[in-house]
Amino acid sequence: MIESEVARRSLIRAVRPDRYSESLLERLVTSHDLAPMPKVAALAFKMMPDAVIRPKEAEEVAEVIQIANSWDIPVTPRGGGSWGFGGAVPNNGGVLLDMTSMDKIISLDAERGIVRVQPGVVWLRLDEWLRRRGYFVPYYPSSAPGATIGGWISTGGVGVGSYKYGAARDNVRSLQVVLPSGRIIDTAHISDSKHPSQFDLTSFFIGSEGSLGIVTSIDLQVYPDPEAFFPASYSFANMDMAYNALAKISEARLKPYHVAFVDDNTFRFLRAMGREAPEVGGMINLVFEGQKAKVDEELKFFDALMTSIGGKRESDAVSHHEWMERSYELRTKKLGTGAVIGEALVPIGETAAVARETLQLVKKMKMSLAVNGYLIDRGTVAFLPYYLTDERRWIKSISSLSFVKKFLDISNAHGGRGVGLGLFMANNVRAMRDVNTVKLLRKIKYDIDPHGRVNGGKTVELKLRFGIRVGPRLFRAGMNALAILKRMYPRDKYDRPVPGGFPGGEHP
Amino acid sequence: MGPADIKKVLTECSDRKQPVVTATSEILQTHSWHNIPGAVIIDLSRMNAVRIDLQRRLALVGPGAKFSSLVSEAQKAGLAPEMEAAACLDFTFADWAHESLRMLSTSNSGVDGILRNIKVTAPGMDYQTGFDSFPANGGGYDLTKLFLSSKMSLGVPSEFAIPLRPVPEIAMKRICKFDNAESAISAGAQVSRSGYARSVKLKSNGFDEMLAAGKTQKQSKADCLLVIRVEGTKPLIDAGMNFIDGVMAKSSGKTVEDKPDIPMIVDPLSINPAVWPLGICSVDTKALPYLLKGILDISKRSNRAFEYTVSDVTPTSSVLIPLIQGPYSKELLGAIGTYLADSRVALRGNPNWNPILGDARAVSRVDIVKGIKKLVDPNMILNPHVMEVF
Repeated sequence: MIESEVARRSLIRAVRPDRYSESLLERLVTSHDLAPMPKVAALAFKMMPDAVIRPKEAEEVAEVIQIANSWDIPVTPRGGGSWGFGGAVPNNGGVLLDMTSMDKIISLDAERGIVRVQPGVVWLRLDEWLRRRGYFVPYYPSSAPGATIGGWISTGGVGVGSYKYGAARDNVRSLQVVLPSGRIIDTAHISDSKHPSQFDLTSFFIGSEGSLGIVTSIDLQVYPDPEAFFPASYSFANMDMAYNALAKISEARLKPYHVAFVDDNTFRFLRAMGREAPEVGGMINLVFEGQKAKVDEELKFFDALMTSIGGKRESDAVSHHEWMERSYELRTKKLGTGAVIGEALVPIGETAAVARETLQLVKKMKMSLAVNGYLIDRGTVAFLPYYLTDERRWIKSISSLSFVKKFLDISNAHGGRGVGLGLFMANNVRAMRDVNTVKLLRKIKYDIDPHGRVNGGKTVELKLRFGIRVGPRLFRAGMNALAILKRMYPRDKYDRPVPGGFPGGEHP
Repeated sequence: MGPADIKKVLTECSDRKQPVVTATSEILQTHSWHNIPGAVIIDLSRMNAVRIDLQRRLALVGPGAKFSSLVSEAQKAGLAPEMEAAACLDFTFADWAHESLRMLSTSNSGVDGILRNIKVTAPGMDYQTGFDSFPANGGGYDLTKLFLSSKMSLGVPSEFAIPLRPVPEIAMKRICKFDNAESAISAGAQVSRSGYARSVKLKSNGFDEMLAAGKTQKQSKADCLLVIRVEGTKPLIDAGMNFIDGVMAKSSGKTVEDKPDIPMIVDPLSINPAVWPLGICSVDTKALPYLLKGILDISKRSNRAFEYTVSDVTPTSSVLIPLIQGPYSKELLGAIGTYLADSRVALRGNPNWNPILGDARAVSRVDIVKGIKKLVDPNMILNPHVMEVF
């Protein structure tokens, strides 16, 4: 509840009564994201907002921020909540801006191929809207059916199609942002958008996880609907061969549209759920798009390459199925009651080593894990291991969270880094950037947001609910303690047994 | 000179509040540092090392290194940079950084695809704008584009991290002639969108002659050349060329030449010293024909020929670089400079982009930059003329 009645009334007036809520249900729903956070986390963070506000226009966002500034109320922007690092979760209550209400597709400039959208538009809806007009958006998160455009851009935006079309920052031409002061800016003009001049701020706000301002409109580069689109899946006897195939693809002179991989454990999980899944050691999914002649040539080229390194081309039906499953990698969480994802960017040559050490870690921590991922450029793999968890057993569940930190330590040791920071991984910024740069980033945050009200205490620093900053040592010690606790527990059990078990033979 | 030396100079000058300017190769008329009295000049030309990191497929390049050095070092390892020297001129990376990389053709990728990280020394602190090995997503704030668009007012670059790719099996260049820029730009945008082309550039018919031989026409002509680079395997190139044929058949363009592409990179100091780039102008591609028409009008009025190149023709925005061969008067240079500046403002049609006019949104935007400038350069000594504009 917002304590001051005057502040409460001002906030209601800034939007409309039907777009202001203090209902327990709405506050509960917005108090977590994809990661299941146990109740005990409330000791450290006040993740439940005091009010949920659904703005419709940038001016409303600006007014809410100005009121929040007057009454010292924290503000947290939230998109689809489909990330797992707590970036869209309050760390000290306050107002939660549910940006899914800003869901207008404003305009399409067909000549330039630029679509202007509000941040709450869901990727899948934008793609469907564009396809009806002869265009498509070739880059999007794997969580496209639920993730919003503003949310993904705030996390930096690598995902499906990044291998060919780049990350979000390569395709966002301009942003409208409400600053923590309540003032509104445009980050770049269309004529400078691809070739920056005059202090281009677009990339600066992309990936800032909503901590520098709240994005209220986005200009995205979109492309004509391709003449041909073709997925082709290749199975391998084991994952080492599949990781080698990723390296070979990245060295090739041609580029597919998308390159993804799925490990054998994913298929075992699926079979345990009673779904049909191929019995293979691993799978590489390639996707080609563009002019038909170009797609034909690329397919021929990669078919020869994959066959030469031990890949077996799967049927068109399997390939199509794998492509359609790209947004449902966590289907298997029904085996537990939830799943937690670790996300890291790993140098392509280190992928097999990171995978091997991750499996050893999992064995020690008595967990079950599967891995999928994709190439985001010629040198980098987005490596996404996920483990199943049972949130009903909260001590076991919270101690399992230490896996994410331990996994990131493995990837860091191999020259990799985490995909994002948010709330839970904010201290990881020290492992990603050098000391001076981290100091500068913090100074920038406080220069733009002197009181740290807009999504504060995250991304470049970790702050608890009482404004206490937690350094990486304390965080590391806490995670180590949780990891030891997890090892003391018996091996994880799930509602349904997994046929054949997992590496380490953990399943009863 | 290395980063440690730069640090010493900057610290000393910051203590004394003495202005510091970074000198690049002095061939761009857009530099305005000559007019800062008492400034210490940091010459980056000797920081010209190029290191190739084979494992990470990365080039680590000093600000004084020329683009041709990068290409030749990468080639030795069977690799190539993602970027091309759009204006054919072999500038140093300090030059490119000063001009926001706008003279580098990036084909279908943005700055991220061609440049990852810049190590920066500033009076207040050293920092890195992004990551050497990864795209700068979700790891704190990305400062790369901001640095590139700051005309080195946010620090002195000491190293650029540039991703490399395999050298293509075959690369072909197709040159198509058009009698007017409007049709050429429209065709170029279509080809750019198709995904077949590695790069699409436009240049006036006399551009190469002026650049290479110093010959010039009496008056600018309307005809121009679209230069399309296609690369990959032989069948892919054939498919690309067929597509371009289709586009040309629907426009007024005629293919005049197909040849294996060896990108021309000319040392600016080796060309006729009287040839000058008059400015580097990011423009909305839609407005480009209008700008080029205006340049032709000035040419007619002054009875002097201008040549031009347009790097990276895309459906969204392009970069126009007009050139002139001397002798020329200040009035003439002023006329075209003013025309380009005025056109940019007029064509934007949006006063948000004129902070000088006091628009609130532009002022807020500039305030962010000024705040960051104060953090990295508390006494505002580094390239102070850039911020003074605002």
